[in-house]
Amino acid sequence: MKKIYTLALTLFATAFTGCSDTFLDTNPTDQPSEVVIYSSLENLRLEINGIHRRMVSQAGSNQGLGGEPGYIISRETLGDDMTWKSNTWHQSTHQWKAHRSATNDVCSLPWRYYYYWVLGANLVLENLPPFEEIDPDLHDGLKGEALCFRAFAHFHLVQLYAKRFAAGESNDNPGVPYRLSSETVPQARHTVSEVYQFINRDLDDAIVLLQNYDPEDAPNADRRTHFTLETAYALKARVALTQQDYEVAANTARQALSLSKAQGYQLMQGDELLHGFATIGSSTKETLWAALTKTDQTVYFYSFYAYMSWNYGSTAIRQGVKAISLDTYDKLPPPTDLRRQWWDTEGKSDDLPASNYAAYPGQNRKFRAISTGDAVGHYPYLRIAELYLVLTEALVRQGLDAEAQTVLTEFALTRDPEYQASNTGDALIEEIMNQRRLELWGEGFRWFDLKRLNLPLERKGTNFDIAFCGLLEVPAGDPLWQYAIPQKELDANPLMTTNE
Amino acid sequence: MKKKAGFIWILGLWVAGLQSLSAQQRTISGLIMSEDDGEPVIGASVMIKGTTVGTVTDVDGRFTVEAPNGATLVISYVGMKSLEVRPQDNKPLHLTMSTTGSATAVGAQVLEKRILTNVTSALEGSVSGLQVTSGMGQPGSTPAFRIRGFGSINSSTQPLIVLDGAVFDGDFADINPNDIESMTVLKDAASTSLYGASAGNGVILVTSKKGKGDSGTHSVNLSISQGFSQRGIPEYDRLDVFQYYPAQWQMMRNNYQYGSSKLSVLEANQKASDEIAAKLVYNPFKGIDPKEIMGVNGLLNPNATELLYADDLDWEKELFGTGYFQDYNLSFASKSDKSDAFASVNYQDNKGYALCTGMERFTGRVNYNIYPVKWFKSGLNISAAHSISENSVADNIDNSSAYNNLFQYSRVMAPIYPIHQHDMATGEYILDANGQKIYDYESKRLTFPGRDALVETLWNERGYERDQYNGRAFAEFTLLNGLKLNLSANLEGRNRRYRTYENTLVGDGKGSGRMDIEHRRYRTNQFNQLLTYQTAFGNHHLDLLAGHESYAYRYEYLSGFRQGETISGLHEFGNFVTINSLSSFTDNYRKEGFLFRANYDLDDRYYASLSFRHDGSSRFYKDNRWGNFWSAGLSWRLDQEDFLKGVDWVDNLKLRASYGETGNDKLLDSNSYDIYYAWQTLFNLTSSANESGVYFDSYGNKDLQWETVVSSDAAVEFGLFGRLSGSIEYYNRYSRSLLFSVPTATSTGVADIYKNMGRIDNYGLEINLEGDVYKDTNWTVSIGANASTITNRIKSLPEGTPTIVSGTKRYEVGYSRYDFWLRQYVGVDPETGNALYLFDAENQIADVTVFERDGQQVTTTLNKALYAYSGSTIPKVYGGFHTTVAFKNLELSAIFSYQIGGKLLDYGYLDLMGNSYGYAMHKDVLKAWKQPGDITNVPRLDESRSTDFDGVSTRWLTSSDYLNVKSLTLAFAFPRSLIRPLGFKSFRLSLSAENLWQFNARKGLNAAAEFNGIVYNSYLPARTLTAGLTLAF
Repeated sequence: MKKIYTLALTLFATAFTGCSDTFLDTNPTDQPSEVVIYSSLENLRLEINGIHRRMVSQAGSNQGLGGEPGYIISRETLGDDMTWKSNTWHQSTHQWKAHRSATNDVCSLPWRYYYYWVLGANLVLENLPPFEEIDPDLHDGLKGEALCFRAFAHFHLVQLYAKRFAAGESNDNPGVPYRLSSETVPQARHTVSEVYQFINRDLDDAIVLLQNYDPEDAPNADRRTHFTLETAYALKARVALTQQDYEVAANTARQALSLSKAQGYQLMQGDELLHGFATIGSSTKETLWAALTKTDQTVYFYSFYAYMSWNYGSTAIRQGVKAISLDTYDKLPPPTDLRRQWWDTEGKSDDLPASNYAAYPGQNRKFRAISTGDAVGHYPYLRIAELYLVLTEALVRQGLDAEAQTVLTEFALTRDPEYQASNTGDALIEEIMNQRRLELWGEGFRWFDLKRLNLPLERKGTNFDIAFCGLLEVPAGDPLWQYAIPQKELDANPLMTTNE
Repeated sequence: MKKKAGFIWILGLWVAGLQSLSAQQRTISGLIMSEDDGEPVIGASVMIKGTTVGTVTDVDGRFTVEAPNGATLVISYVGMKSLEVRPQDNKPLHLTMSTTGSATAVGAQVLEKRILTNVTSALEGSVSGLQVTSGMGQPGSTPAFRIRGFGSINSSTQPLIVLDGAVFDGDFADINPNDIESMTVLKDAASTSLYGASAGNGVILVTSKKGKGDSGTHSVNLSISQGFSQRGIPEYDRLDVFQYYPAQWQMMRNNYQYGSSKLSVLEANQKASDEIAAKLVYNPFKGIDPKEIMGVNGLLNPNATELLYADDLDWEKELFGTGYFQDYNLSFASKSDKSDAFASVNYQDNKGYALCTGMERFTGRVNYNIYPVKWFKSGLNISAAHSISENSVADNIDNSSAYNNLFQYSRVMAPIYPIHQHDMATGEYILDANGQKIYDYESKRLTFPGRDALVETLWNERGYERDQYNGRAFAEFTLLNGLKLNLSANLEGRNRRYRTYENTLVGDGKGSGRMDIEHRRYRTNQFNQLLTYQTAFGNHHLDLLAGHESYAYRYEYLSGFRQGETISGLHEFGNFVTINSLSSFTDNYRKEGFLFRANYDLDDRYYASLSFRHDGSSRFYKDNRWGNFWSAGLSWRLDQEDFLKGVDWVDNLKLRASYGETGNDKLLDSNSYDIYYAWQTLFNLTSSANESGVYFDSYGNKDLQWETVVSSDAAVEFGLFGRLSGSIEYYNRYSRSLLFSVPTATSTGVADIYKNMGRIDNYGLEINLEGDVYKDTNWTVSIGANASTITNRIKSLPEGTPTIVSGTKRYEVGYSRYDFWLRQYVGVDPETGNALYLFDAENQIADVTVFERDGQQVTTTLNKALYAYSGSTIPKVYGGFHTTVAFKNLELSAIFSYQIGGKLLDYGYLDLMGNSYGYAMHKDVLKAWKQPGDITNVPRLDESRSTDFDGVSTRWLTSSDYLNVKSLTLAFAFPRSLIRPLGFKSFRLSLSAENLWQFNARKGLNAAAEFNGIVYNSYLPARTLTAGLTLAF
């Protein structure tokens, strides 16, 4: 009997696995915790990198809305410069329905993810102070980047979900909550005016903080995937233009332009213009801030080029290649303008990649995927061309026609080697706006432009098919110009109010 | 059950006394086994009813008793349900006893007759308090279960599965049903508390077979089954090719009249007639000009009677056929005084009825137990399985709306589009260079343009190979009389390799070809140490248990994805140029527990049990990871009381009640994936251009702790008139400190944060009845039925979020977890044909689309519609009934399951009622509004209003009532006299049909698919018809 005891108890003791103190301590193997991330400037920098990367992502599980490039497609489809036929991706946005439906992804995902980037930025801002002394330049640089993110995201939110900023008016109508901390408490909407004050404050601070910041000090870094002094000025210029503060817009655009030139950025010209945008980071020196997506960073069918290129083999493109409004195309300057080749007004099918691609009048050639089977590509958030256009518009709207002409000529010569400035006054304004529509076609500017200038939507091109696009006109200032506040926000935030 | 000490036997002998009666005596012998573990029950009391005469079973569970002719034997044992039998002849009795408490079992007798591919499907309709979904028809899929309602909101509500005493994390598809002795569903606090703090959602106990019977028995059992399967749920009623054009024409002309074009009636008609054929691209009618297909009167051209390709429109036939099923099982069993052994090998080939689906499986098992000396016992139970599966995209509800989901694709395919290319003038097939028909995937048809589920299924690869192994060893020492130590170890593992290839010509791989290989490795280690002690003094019996257990689960994931196929037909990474992604991670989840239990009974009349557990989980922060759980149970056998002893018609009467706590730590994310580290604030790894990066994932909460489930129940069990038995039970289960995903305003940047908050209650009644309706020497007719109710009520919610909208449901105190929260559809405006919704005056701003109708404010804009509670998905009553009619050796049995009183959202119907060009339409669109004055419930067909007319609202709610003819089995056992001379112990033939028919609210609907009341496009259940032969020698 004694033997039994010994045997049994020995076994009993050895079998008592699990009794050690650490048995129940487990950690993820592919997720660092906040303890690690907040422990150094280098790790906080990782989070800044992460937000830049997440601007192109599959988060939200709607392949038509793959981050900022997807939201750009939404905005472009709302405008009067682009249409297509047959394929139903983004059709309900084109019809001005989706962005007004509080449960639609088109409405809820930008809200969700702009605020998600704001949260990331706020977490960085809140955890930076301990390192201020250790490496002041990096500290300030990261802080500047975080502030740029916060400003950029709120700037887009307020343009989407609130009424336009009207210069000289009170702008005390509901804007969006401007989140200055990572605290997860519900917050009410700031007024439009307040939101713009916060945006400007963050950008002004960033401009100070980014003075001595060179993101390329870090290994493998590319300044175009970071906020820098030139991009902070460029954002400030965009904001000022939207606020119809043309003086500030002109000054900051000029600053951004000269800083950009100093960094070696230049306008595309000649064959560069036809590179197709998917390699804009390597083929040109045109972009200041971009998603330089690599092949193993693919978002598959969530990619911009899965909807906006003319050659990728997605159904969306084969059935409904994106086309310029023929009316907009007619505004193009003379045949010597190289950008004429960005579109094919006749809808020819001879150069299509395969027989099952449908041609459409006005079909674009501007955006080209790197192959019919690969939608991975760079996406430029900020191009130097835009700075020229902002500057020239800001100048002409201040009545500085001659200065505007000079800037415009410098820009336009790269597009049309025989360009000669001739317009002044309203004609010059119209010319500049047309340059904007053409140069920035497909890049998400037109709808914001119509809204900031309080213009009506007028889809005049004969290639708009009302049966497909739902409507041809929306009066200026109509409630339809505001996205609906997402239902999920209304459900969880007692302080939130709906839009008209 | 051998753990019951021998001295109880001696005690029992004394208790039973050895009185004798002088009547026509005969000797009755028998063997009593436990249903739980298939072991002999030692020391069970065997009494002659109405006397104090009797005996107890010996160490092998055997007994012999002298009894008068016609006497009834009452067999009882502490913690087990009493049995009553009236022996008909002198043959030895073989009886099984099951445990008390709220346990309901499906035993080998039932399992052997049905031919099942997945053993768990036998639970549907058989067990009260257990809800079972239909599961999918994909071979290898397993249905889902819920025991006594839904005790959580964001944590798992799945019951714990315990196989042979250890938590089972594997897949039931890899368990050979022929190896299963019994399945027992434990529901109440008293019986679940022993199975760990994670038993909050109830326990399904599965026990594998072992060698049993008389000592010296050696047997071989061979069974062979062959069968067929087909789609078990028919398609919805859809418009045919001749009805389709007029309906689409109507949708277009209404668009022109009521949409932004605002054309006149005549203009709209003319324009629609001119354009509809161009819109739909295909003109299937022979000899009809496209512009002549539709008259301006909205009628199909009367000459459009002949089709260009009538034989090429049946997509369903092309995609769904007949699956072939074959199963071969060989098992061996032997039993001696000091050991028992069971071994089996099985091969099954189960081809699905849907194109390119099926599973082939090889399994083997050895279960060997040895007890060479009185104080030592040991055993080993090893099983292994290898399966090869070809899967449909529709095997997963996440793919419900995937373009290449066959079920969705064939459902919404407009009836005008052919499968192959045709000469559109003559209708002739276009043939390729080899004279083969060409699939029409490059066509411009409007149904999922550019996609072709048929061709993609044929040309892609989707499937996995899986190995599953399970080994359990134990050693038991008898240290003293009544004191035993049991040590056991369990190792379970799975390896699965998924492969998905997408071809270069059509689908997501178009243009490049893609290959995804995913490897998943799972391993669970469990150790248990149990110390038991049994003693008795006088009429008092005491059974004590103390134990410790540990559980360690490890999951390793590795996945690669490349694209850019080089050479056609080679499906390995090297053949694909670009790396899309390459990722890996490992999850570790561990639990540890200490348990104590005491069972006590007095005089076999009064029973009490008390248990306590102390459990820790790695899912919580170290200061909060331990929880304490306890339970208590009482039962009273009234039939043992003197005042009932004389009552002849009461065979058995028992009252029982229990109260106790169990836990739940199984926190899930919104996609039902486990969250193991919710106490930590975590970031995900990424890269930005050439730099590394991280991004915020989730906020952690160090205060998280166990969600606690508090159960109480009271039941009466009865046996009456020798032929009716049953139970009626009331239960109340509530869960507090719910592990709650508390939604935050999305403007905070996070969607939710996990907290312990809120309470949810489930209560209801369960009734079980079993009766032998008729019985004579040749005939037996028995009927059984069960019915259960659930009331599910949220009792408290996190502060600050008094209402939480989750998809189509809303959580609020006083409502259930599954109450629909939907936009309120009113009907159709007879003047305009618009869909009308109740206006949400509180949150929305009125405009021209808002007006008054019948005293209420209505709107034609979906976005301005009022949300309100709209019924629940949870049925009021559910259950099953079954009947068996036996004539001599022929037995027919049928099992039905049902639910009544719930609702579901029929998205399949919605898809077919939607206003889209080029998609199939339900026949109900024929009832659509056409002109002012029409009274109907179907709005006008109008493509321009699809958002408003087709949006999710109460319009799509449908009753989820169903009656499933779950199983029908005809079995014939050859008489022994016939087969004995041939050397066989038994020889049986059976015909078995599963999922024969589902009666429900709408043709096309599977009302039993999901608990959440959403109808997804998934692999519909298969109806199977199988013939089997079982032979033993």
